[in-house]
Amino acid sequence: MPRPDFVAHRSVQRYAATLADLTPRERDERLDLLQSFAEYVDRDPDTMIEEIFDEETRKYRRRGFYTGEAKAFAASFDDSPNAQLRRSNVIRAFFIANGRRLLTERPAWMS
Amino acid sequence: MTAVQPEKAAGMPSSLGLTFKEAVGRRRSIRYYKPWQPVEREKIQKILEAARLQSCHGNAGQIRKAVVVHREETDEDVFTGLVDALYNQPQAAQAPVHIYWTIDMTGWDHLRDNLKGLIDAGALTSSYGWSEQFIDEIVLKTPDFNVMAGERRFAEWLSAIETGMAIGAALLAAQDEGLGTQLLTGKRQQMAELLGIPDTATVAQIQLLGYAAEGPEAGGQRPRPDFEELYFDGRWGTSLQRDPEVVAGLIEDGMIQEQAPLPYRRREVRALAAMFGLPD
Repeated sequence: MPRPDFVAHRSVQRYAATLADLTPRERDERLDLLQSFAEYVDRDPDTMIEEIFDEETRKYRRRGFYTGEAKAFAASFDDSPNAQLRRSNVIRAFFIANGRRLLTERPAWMS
Repeated sequence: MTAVQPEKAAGMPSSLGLTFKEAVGRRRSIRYYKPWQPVEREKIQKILEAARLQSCHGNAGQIRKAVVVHREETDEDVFTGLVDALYNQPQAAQAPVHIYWTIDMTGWDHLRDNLKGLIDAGALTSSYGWSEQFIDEIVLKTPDFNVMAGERRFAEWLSAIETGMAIGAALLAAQDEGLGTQLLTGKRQQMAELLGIPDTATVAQIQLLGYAAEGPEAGGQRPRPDFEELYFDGRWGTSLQRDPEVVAGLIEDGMIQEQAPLPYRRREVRALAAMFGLPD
């Protein structure tokens, strides 16, 4: 179960609001994964949202970094490619819920 | 000249059995396509024929041209570049066919010949004052009609409207053929370079075509502004009132359908995201 102080972050609240249709278990799995990712990149979730995009220039600043980290984080679970993609997509969904987009990956069958 | 059987000329349902009202009512912007299912060439042709036959000011249909791109027949780098120009929206990669609709301002060069063609066809008649001399001495010198003789901005607006009408017909024709379709915009210059589109033509909308991976309801009919907010009765600002009986009839005829979101839509979107490896 995700820590209350983690869930209290504004960006996590936004993401959690998009999970309302899931069961509590599914919701917690995703938030747990996001929490692990935050630890993996050693940043709190609000900072991730702040630093990926430069509000002044209106351009992405660290999209490549977070896309790469999401992929590497998912790969660290040593699962099937599909399972890895599902994991990295949880991170993508967190960014999307906060108005930011990571680069997408295509599943093997689409290539 | 194509022979048309009179009994098929009007009021017949499409090959799918759709009436016009059903085609309008069922159309959705489809955002999930089956990448594995190709689109039959004859269906694409029918869609383009519908666009070609749509009304156009001065019959100057040459202003609305399109490039059809088949994913499977296109150089991978070119297709990847096009998808990139469409901001890498996943449906652009999924849809097997793209139609790049353009507005070609050189199409107006044919205005005189096209009007003459309408006289020859008996569409523009002398009863209404039409003659070749009238075209040369009046029409072509009147900017309200020969838009290229007047303000460029108006010419561009009108060209966009005329092209839009063709695209609108193409959307309904796609629906009529049982295809999913959607319009996208993107980086126009990048698309033009990749497809060899000349400077005289502007890429307008990109129509995706393919078989829908989402349900035909695609979550339900999209919300639209209220009728009374859009249409006025005799004078701007006086709302035209909607007759509930007409609405009931359109519901019965399938033009007005259940509004989005349908109760299962969220689950459908999650399932589609899982299938396409997308975040949900």
